[in-house]
Amino acid sequence: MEYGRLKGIKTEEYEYPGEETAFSLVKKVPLLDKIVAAYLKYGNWMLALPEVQGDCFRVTEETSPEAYRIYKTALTRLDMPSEYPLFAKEDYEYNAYTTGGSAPYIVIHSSMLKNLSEEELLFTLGHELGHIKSGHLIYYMMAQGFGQFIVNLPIPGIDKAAAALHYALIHWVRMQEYTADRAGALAAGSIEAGQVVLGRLLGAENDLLDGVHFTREDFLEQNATFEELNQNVVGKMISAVLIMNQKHPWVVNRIQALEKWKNSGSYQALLDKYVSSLC
Amino acid sequence: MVTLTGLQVSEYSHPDENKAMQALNKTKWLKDLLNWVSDKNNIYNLKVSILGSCIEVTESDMPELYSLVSEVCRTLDYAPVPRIYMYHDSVFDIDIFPGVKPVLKVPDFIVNEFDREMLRFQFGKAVSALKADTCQMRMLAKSIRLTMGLIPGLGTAAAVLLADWSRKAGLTEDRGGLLACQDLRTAERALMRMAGMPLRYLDSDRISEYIKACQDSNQVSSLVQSAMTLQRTEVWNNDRILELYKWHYSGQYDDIIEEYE
Amino acid sequence: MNQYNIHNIKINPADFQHPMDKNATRLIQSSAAFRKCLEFISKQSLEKQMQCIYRSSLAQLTPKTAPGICRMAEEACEMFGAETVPELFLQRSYTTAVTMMGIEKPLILLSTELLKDIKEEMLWGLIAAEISGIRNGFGEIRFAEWLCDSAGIIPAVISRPLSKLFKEWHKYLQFSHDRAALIAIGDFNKTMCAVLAGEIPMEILMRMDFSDPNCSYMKQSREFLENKGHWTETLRDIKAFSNEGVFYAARYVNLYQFMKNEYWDITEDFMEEI
Repeated sequence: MEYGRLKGIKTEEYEYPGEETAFSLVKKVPLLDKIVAAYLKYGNWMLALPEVQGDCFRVTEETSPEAYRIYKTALTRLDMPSEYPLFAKEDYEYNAYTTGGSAPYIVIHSSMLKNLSEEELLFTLGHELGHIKSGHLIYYMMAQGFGQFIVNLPIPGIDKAAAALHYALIHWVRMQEYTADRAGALAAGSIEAGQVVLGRLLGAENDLLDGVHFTREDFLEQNATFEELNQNVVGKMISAVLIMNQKHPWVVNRIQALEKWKNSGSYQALLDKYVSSLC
Repeated sequence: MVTLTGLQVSEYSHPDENKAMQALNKTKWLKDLLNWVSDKNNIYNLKVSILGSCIEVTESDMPELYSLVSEVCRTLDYAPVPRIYMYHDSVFDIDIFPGVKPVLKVPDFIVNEFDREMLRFQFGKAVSALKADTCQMRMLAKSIRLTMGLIPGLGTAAAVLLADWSRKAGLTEDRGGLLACQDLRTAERALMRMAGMPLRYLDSDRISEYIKACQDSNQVSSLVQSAMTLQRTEVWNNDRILELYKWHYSGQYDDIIEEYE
Repeated sequence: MNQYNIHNIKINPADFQHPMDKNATRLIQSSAAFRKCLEFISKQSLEKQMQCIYRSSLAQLTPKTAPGICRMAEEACEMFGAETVPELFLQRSYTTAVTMMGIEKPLILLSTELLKDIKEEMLWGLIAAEISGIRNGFGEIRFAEWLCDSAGIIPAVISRPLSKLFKEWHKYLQFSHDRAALIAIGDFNKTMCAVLAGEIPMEILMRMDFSDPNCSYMKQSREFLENKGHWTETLRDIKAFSNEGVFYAARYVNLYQFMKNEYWDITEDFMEEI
């Protein structure tokens, strides 16, 4: 679907249910303000930018007009308040990430730029912009680069706070990923494009051996088979334990979540609200 | 294409490379250690790793690639044409083993990602390293920096010196690559591809814009970046793009081509 | 295409298993540590956890998404007498290795990079090779090994004694796999292309004549195996000890010798000329 700016669209309008609850648990962690201030000041996220600036390809209108055009479309559609530096990084694995504290920037791996369609790239970049738009980027970054940093801070009582913060953050970050997927779908103008990208993360490529072909229905079926494993108590426990420390939800769950959002009518309602207001 | 018969590495080597090598040569024990490790490294790579895990690609197997490497050798005035062993890896670097029968260990990734002219640049870098006889030290620099860094004080200093020299030697190799392909756009395209932009969105007409972006970015280079640079055995990708551009437009590149034309 | 119809073969993989592999397998299977490991796996439902991870994070190849590949798996099970047809999964990865593991419900993991360049009959050989391992008990050994390598899952008191046995097994495992691939494909050149698939572009591999004893790869392989010298042998042993598999050069020479000396005896009863 083609459209321009979704002027005035707010994160709350497409936020994944449960994200706000999860974030309220994060906010309850004691010493949170001190930890955030310390992370902003001393966190190792600062070491990433010089490396990215030195080694990666800076995507701008002047350096790569076609790639930039796609990025600009995503920025516009999500009504982002400003533009954020975009870098292309050489890597075979599919990945994109956002970081940078108060000066966010986005890095997308070369393999995604090489292989994804324009719609799929819109979803990917929209997903990353969704993290910025949520206004909680610093918490997202803390969850990504948490590790030993927090427990080593010279703040009394930090060890108890660290454990509580770790699990609250990780849980919230997983909810954020669902919200960011929705932002991606809004940027792409297509739920299916998002599901195809997520399918690629599973390994489902359609330009392989003859006769190997994946559709979104196949991904949804695979999710259904996966959920069957979680039907009994043992299965539920296993799934819960395995996901506990993961910063992303299961990929098949993400595909299903997008489908559910589409089927609820909320996605189309949002588009109807904002696209029809474009005159 | 101008054949550079009689070309010497000293004609195009990066001025800082010699300085860095002199600093290394001052520590005799380091040179002796490097030579010993290099000898064992050679045995491992040539007799074990390459023969055991790579596949020699002969002229009859891949005539296009062989003719390209032969052309590069002819252009840069280097003999003999190295043997080519291929293996599977998603990296751009060609590993180089000098000797009476020099060997190039070529990742299949670059054959898939680079067009013929970009490959000419990349093989030009490799042949330039063979000409300069710096390949083994460069490979050692990559593998040894961590080990040397574990020896406090002297070990760290030696690793820093080796890394510094390695970065400068890499810039010389880039110049050799440009001399091999004799087209700045091709060389810069290869470097920009290695920085992370796939060919699909790589616009060769935008090189000067990219240079400007690199120059603007350099103005905000931080203390952190300088500290990170100390440990690297390769120059930052964007600095490589800048350095080659500057050398090309300094006039030195044209002087070399005109001299041999 | 081979002049013989190879699809009538029904053979027990133990009949062509490399003797060193047989020995190494037996040592693992008879060790107390391995039995304890399997008990631990069962108690902790680790195979269910693995299925959870695979189903949630990798693309499953089903009769709908990959009918040809699923058929290969079924035919290979018939050929080698494996009772359970493994599930097939695909992951995005630059490695081209094919892996089979699992105890009650084995699975086979393929990579996108492998499928990009490989021909169907070569893929058939690789899948058949993995499935031949099921009957030899490779599925449970591989699974146990994977868990032992994953930090902290299997207690060190169980995993440490097994580690050396696994490494020894890896020196010979591929020899048996390659034999299975040759029996399935029925053509030495195509089998070698399958073994080396992904290492260099397939169009180059297919130009090489691996069955020629004077081909360049045979010369290279012999040079590798015959290289002498204290440091050479030491470094080769160190590399082999730490390697995931055997060197290609060793696999090639081994398979060549198997083809010359044993292959026809093992398969002649099953061959019918077309």
